[in-house]
Amino acid sequence: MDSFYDEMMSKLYLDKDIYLDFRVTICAFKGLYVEGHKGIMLYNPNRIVINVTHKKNLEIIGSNMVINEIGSAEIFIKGNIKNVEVCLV
Amino acid sequence: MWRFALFDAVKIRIRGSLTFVANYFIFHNINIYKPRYNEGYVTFFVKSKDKNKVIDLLKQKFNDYKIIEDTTINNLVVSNLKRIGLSLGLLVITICLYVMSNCTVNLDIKGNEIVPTDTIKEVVLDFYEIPNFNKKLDTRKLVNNLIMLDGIASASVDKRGNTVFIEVYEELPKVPIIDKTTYKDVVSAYDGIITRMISYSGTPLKKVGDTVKCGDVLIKSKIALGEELSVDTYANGEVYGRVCIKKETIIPEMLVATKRTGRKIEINKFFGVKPKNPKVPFEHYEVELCQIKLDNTLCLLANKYVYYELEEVLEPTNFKENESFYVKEYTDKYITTLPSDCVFLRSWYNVKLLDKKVCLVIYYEIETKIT
Repeated sequence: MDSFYDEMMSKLYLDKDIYLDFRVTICAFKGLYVEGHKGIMLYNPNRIVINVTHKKNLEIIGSNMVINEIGSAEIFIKGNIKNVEVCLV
Repeated sequence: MWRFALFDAVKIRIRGSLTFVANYFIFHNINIYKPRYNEGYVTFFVKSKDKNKVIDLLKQKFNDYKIIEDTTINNLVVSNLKRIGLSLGLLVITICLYVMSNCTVNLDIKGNEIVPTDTIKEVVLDFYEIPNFNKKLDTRKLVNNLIMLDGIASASVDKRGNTVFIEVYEELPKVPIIDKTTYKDVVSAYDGIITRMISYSGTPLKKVGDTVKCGDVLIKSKIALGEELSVDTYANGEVYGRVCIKKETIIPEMLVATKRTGRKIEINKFFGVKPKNPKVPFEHYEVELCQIKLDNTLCLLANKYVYYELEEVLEPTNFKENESFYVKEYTDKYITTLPSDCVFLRSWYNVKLLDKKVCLVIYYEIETKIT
């Protein structure tokens, strides 16, 4: 059985290799889950920057954001999320 | 997953930036929970299994680290072992839970409508005392004992937790077998006056208002066909009548009565247990049961069985003085012997004075089925 991501990729006609580096899941703009990160670059309650690949950063803009759990491969962020951007370094 | 951080975890505080601390532990494959930055200090939780590894890493980079909270299970046990009261309490609770889970305390009986619950309870308690610390219960034998009771067709016994569940199935009421092959007349069983009469089959020979004597034919088991010819049939019907029933009793001059001598024995029993073969030194005695409270704070209840010694005493009856008492007593006594489906109309009495004795005659007028 295909996972949620596999199904989504097949419906968008995209290669499966594209998402191998990192995944971002946003829950109702109140929580965010990042898989496959490389470290945290900047943290303050209104702006969090996460390194996802050696060329890309994930910039999360919001308010009252806190990190609930951070591991070697995943981060759980909780708060009011306004914007999520992937920036090229 | 972050819930683990609250229990079985260690809360650490260090001076530094959140990004550096987070990346440092990520690099060493350690998950940190709820990292918070406040005035130059970072506080975070780590799981208890990573505690030693984290301390080693902290010693390498951060010398001024501080463990704020340690909610690991080992730490909780060690810190609480010193508290004797808590340890004793836990021990007592554990023993109580073990004992309570093994003993039987309650008895749940259902499914009986005709057979009284007390009768079933007696049979069960004879076989298996409650409360009982024996975990094993021979359900087959108990079911056999219950089936031996009159009116019970089958039973099921189940023991769940500390309760014995008993479900009984009662026998269905027996249907009367009517023999319609033999032709018998419907005959009156009493002397009286007919008040109501329904004839289902046969030829009625009496009507409402007729006076009948015991043995009179009420409904004939023959039907006339024409003037000479008649056919035998099964006679059936319901005939009600006003009947007078006479009850006679002789009251002697002296009556044997029992009186308490004043000597008594008390036996206290807990948990509703009945005393088994109590050693009572009296030949004649009566038992009185009352509930007593031993302690107000714990509400410890006990059943108090008091055995009073009795002696037989001859007492004069004094019928003339206690006439109304004897009449009421014997009227109430004999009223229970009347047919169960009768309607009581009235009663009166007559007194015959004999030599040293009194003959009390009580008459009851009732309306009942006379067939």
